[in-house]
Amino acid sequence: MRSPRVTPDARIDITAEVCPMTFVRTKIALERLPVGGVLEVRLKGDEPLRNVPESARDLGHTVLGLDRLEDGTWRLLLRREAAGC
Amino acid sequence: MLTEPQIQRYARQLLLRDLGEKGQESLGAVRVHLALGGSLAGAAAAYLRAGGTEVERASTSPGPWASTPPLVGSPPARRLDVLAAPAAPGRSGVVVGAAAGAHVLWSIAEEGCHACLDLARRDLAPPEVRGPAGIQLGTLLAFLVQRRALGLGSPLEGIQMSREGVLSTVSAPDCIHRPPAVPGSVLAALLHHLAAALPDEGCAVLVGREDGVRLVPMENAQAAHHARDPEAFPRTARTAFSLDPRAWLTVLREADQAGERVLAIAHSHPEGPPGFSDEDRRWAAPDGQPLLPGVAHLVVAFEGGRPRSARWAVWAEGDFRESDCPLPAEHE
Ligand SMILES: [Zn+2]
Ligand SMILES: [Zn+2]
Repeated sequence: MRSPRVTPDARIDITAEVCPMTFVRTKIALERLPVGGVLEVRLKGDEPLRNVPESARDLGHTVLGLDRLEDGTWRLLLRREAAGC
Repeated sequence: MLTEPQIQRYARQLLLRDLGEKGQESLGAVRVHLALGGSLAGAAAAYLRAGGTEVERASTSPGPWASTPPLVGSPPARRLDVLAAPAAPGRSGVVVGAAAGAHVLWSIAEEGCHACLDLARRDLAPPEVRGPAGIQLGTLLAFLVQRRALGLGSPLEGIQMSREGVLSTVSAPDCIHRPPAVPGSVLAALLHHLAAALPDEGCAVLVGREDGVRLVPMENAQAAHHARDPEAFPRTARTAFSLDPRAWLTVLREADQAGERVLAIAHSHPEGPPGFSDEDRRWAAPDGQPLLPGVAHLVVAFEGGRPRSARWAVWAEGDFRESDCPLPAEHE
């Protein structure tokens, strides 16, 4: 999934976190953004790669893109939606 | 914003759909005054503290429920009372009682109607709980308190738990202590009807339910009364109104058949004065008690043929309380 060219409004790095803190960090960061704001999440490992985009979608947010970076981590772009909390 | 220790401590519940950072802050923004004892209070306090809410207990014995104090940012600004029936919270809180073999909890928000709560809790006995039921009820109590802290739920809500532990909601009484919500279109039709009666006083009845209000235009029977018996009815329709008893009975019967009730009686003051007059008061409560309990009064004052103000008068806690009724803007 290629990410569109958007400038994120906020960035978090959860490569050092484990479940459930990976999504706790993401959820709080999304809640701190205005509706429509874009969050860039840097993540690593199978578990967050599976859970974080899915949990964000479950709450009503939009997954804009997911890219693999050269250092082996992933860059997830999320848009905060009104429904999500 | 939550601090790092708070995020660590409340991580699990921060994941919940309806909670999040703002919700967690709301849980920490109330201080619960718990005036109950026993396992019920112990369980409620433990549950609330674990969720991040400060609890002050009337009884200080820690018992088996000694719990870690919550992590809160700043001192809680809101107070929530939890009391045993028949006591009532000053502003916001939960009343715990017993009725007909079940445990009953009433929860009221600051903006909830306290006169309605008074009716709801009037028949409650103090709670009588022991053993496992207390823990179950304490958890339920904590849940109601958290809903209040989070601003969820209706302003007055009741829940009951049977002796077998089955939960069900208890519906709040239809509020008769506040003016009904009247849609602008109904209000506009009322003004039109009252204007048509000028220079006499006009009158009308508003009937309906919580979800809908309709206007029943009425004739002012005062002119006929005065013509027939000027001694018993010295005032003319210019300065007084009365409802024809037969027409009134028809309104009551039709409302009853439709599952509605009479919400308000409206009348006009053709040349002022604004508001519920002493004469209106005497008519509506001749013996110091309302003639029509649960019925609000709406007075529309005209000036030079145009409506200038509308005032509600609603009986609550021993007197008529007046409040403004905003007029629809584009009335001609
Ligand atoms: Zn009420
Ligand atoms: Zn009057």
